[in-house]
Amino acid sequence: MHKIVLSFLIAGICLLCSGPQMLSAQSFDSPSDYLAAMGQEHKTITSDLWDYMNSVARGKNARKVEKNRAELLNSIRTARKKISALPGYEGDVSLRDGVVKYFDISYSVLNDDYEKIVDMEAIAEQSYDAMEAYLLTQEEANKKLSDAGAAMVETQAEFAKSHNIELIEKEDKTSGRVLIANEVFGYQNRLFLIYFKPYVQDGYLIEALASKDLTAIEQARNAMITYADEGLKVLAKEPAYNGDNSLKLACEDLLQFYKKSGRVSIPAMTDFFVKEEKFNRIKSAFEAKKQKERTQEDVDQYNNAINEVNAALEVYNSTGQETNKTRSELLNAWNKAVQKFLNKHVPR
Amino acid sequence: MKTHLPEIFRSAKVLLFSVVLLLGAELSAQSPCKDIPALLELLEEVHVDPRSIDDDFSEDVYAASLKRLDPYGLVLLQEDIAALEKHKTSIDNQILDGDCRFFAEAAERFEIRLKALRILVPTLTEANFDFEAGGKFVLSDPGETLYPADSVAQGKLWTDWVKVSLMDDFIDETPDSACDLTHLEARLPELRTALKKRVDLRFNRKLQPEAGFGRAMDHLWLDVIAACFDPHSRYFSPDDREDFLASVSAEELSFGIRFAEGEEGSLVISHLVPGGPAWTTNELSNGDVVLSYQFPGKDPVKLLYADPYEIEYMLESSGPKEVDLKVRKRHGTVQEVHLVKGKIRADENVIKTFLLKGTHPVGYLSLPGFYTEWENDGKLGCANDVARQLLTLNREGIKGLILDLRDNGGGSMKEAIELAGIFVDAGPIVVQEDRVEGAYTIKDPNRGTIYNGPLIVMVNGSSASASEVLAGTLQDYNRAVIVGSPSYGKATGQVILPLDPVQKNALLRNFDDVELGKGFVKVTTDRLYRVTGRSHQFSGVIPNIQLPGYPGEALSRESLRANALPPSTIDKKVYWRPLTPGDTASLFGKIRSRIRAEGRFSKIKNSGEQLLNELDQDHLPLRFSDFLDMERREGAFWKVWEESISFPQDNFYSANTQADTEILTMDTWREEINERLLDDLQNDVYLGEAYRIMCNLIESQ
Repeated sequence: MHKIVLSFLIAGICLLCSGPQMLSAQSFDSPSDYLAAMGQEHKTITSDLWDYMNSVARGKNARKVEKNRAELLNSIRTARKKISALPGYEGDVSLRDGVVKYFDISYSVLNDDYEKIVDMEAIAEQSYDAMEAYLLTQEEANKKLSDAGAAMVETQAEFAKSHNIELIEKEDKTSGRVLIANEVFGYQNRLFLIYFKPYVQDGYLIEALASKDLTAIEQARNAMITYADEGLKVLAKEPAYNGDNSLKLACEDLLQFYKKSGRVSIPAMTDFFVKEEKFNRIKSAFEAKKQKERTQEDVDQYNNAINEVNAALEVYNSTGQETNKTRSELLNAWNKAVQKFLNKHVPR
Repeated sequence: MKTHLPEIFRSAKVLLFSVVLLLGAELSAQSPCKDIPALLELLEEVHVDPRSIDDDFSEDVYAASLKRLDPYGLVLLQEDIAALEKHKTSIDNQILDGDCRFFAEAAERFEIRLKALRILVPTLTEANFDFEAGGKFVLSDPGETLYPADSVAQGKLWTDWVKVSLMDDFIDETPDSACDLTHLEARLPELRTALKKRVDLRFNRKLQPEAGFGRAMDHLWLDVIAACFDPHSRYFSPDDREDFLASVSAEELSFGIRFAEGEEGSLVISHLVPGGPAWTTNELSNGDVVLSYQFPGKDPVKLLYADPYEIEYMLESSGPKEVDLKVRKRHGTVQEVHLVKGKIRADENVIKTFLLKGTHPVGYLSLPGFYTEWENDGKLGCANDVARQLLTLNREGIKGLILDLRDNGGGSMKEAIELAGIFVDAGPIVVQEDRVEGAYTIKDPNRGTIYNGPLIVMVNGSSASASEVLAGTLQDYNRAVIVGSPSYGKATGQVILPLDPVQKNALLRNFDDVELGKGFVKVTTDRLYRVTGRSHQFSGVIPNIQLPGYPGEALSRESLRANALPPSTIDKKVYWRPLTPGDTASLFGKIRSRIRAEGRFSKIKNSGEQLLNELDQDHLPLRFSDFLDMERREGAFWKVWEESISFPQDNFYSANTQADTEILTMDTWREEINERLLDDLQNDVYLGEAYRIMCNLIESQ
């Protein structure tokens, strides 16, 4: 299972923290108190985010990961509620509203609730298929999120400036770990997206082979080769992560597999469909002839066709098995490499 | 001799008998318009552009009814028209009031006249004719029909008709050397007998159709009303459907061909079973008019007023295993096609594939029709077979591909979309608009392509509907160069719905799901737009390289049909990424100059125009020598034209793929057909040009 850990909650980490303070719908004595109240909310979220990232990085079981995700969602929801209940500072609500908006978008993205923030209809119209729609949605959502993050940071800076507060970026331990983890997950996600496109086409291919839909088989095969080739070019430009080449290698193995499967294995399998059709035609023609009209040449041709189609069937089956085996080995290898990679690079 | 009937006379013949096709016996007691409200309700609900039931509608129904009953004014008299005309603007009110005066009166008058003619016309075949006397047989154009003043004038009209029919039958069946007055006189008794038999048979059958006259008329009115919404909306009776559904068993021998009554009552090919013998010959298309059939060793039997289902049954159920059909193609040429019954083999590839060898190896795929006319879920359409053929052709190392959609009258949109997808990587193929869902984009279901090299799509004025969608999409993506004459110009989609209101709500695209009962309606529910937002309704797909079409092509277009929906555009954002065209403008310019300089197609254009002029006459001569002259003159023009489009092409030679070669050695009939197909390709001047253009494309890369 691939889970992209989203990188947005990072944007607000530099919120000034000047000591714990309870939030309530009170009026604040100073603008820095007001700012700090918001920072406190953020601190809770950062801590939950770290727990979540950590559980993914250490390969905790799915229930544990899900529990951490639920806690994170819950903190965002609570924080949002508290902050939105705050009054403006001396009538200025821009900071409050910016933070609320940011939380809303974070929540939706983390909860895969894209239709709340992205115009899914426009996405469907613009994208040619489910794969593209998925990628486009992610892209749009991340853009929305980072825009909202940037806007929030800017509002905060303006707020500070207009109230003569000097913002000092103070990184605590947790937020530092989160920032590094974010980088690690980002790298992994980039590599995942490199093989994602041929991976999807490979999925379509399996389906099309099962239904003998040659149009779909051939199109997916060609698309898979194109994407594998493109992927290999993009991958070549991607550096190792702190000297660690392992993910790159696993990704490259997958891309090479898709390429080879498209160029060699699938054609060997579709050859069976062509031979089968030819055999059926020969068979019909053969059977249409009365026994006494059949020449030795006809009989030989019929027998040859049987042998040919049987041989093609054998190739079909063995190639199919081999391809399935290689595919699952390589995907397993990638998953293991990911786990190792995260465990190694996400700080403890 | 082979006769070449003038276009007018051809339609005249169709007409003469179209009358007879639509009729039947006594008027039924039930109200002829009881199902009309249900039909109108259905059309109001789902038709893409429903019309108001007002005086305009009434006038259209009036005109269409008369045109359907008696397009050439051979049955009704002026007094009938005078009596019916009073309903001209009140049919709408009558329908709304559940009153059917117009329909009842029209049917009644029509029946009376027919019964009289049933007695009169057979006696006319015995009349004395002076084949040296001059005179003209004048026909009015449908829509501007002139009706005889009285029964005397009508008798004169039919007398002339009989005379012309006798002369025509004689010329048709006689070698050129024996085509003279003496031989005509000598053969007259048998010609009279044959004509009388034919006339008797048709009048009797048509006055007493199986469904009963009243029922047949009810169905006619429903069809007339549907067609007043647009020419592709039609009503089919439950009986029609049964025939439509009768499927050809895979075990039985069959010619694989279905017939229907044509626009003017002619017998037309409505369906070729993919892979069946008729399909395999590559010489027949949907919409071809079948003029006659001939079993080996027997005389030809004319089919001008035949019952489609009877003929279908007769050909399929019994009789010899071989038949010659004489058909008139949509564009006017008359062709004889030899068919041998065979098993319909569903597992077999039915796409015809050839190699064109010359300067460059080029693949040729011919798709005369789509496999299914209606949308069927789950079945693999022709795209799957095209894919398989492309695998074969790619292995042969082709450098270019020519996809021939000439005479492809359309069919399932799903197949067209899948086919487009074979050549387009990903993206929208067509925009469909209906009244329920509005406009929606239909996309290529599969990412990726199967063939990426230079592609030419051949079209002509008989390429319609789904084949236009395919050609238009490939043109908009700059994926194919379209070569030929502008396509037919139909950009609408239809569905089949039961008329019964109980079942109406199930929007069906599949005949198999329709219950019998009140029959069913083919309704135009969708407008189709190209990804550019424009529609090819009326204009057709305009080829990048235009070549003159067949003579008369311009006269048979969607834009000329009564009540055709006018073209429209759509304002919908469609995201598509066409391929970069390269410097096509200058390449196309060079190709056009070359074609002009070489002169082949200006010769085709000129001979076609001359032929059309010759055919464009408002009467037929009644003197035998004049009639014979006319036929010979026209024959000569046809010959000049045919010679201009069919002669050996020296820039390529047509060949089978390796896979086909192996199979053909065992199948003698197929081998014969194959030889003829190769020969046809070799002599096809349009294909010769397409090959030349392909070489230009390959070399410009």
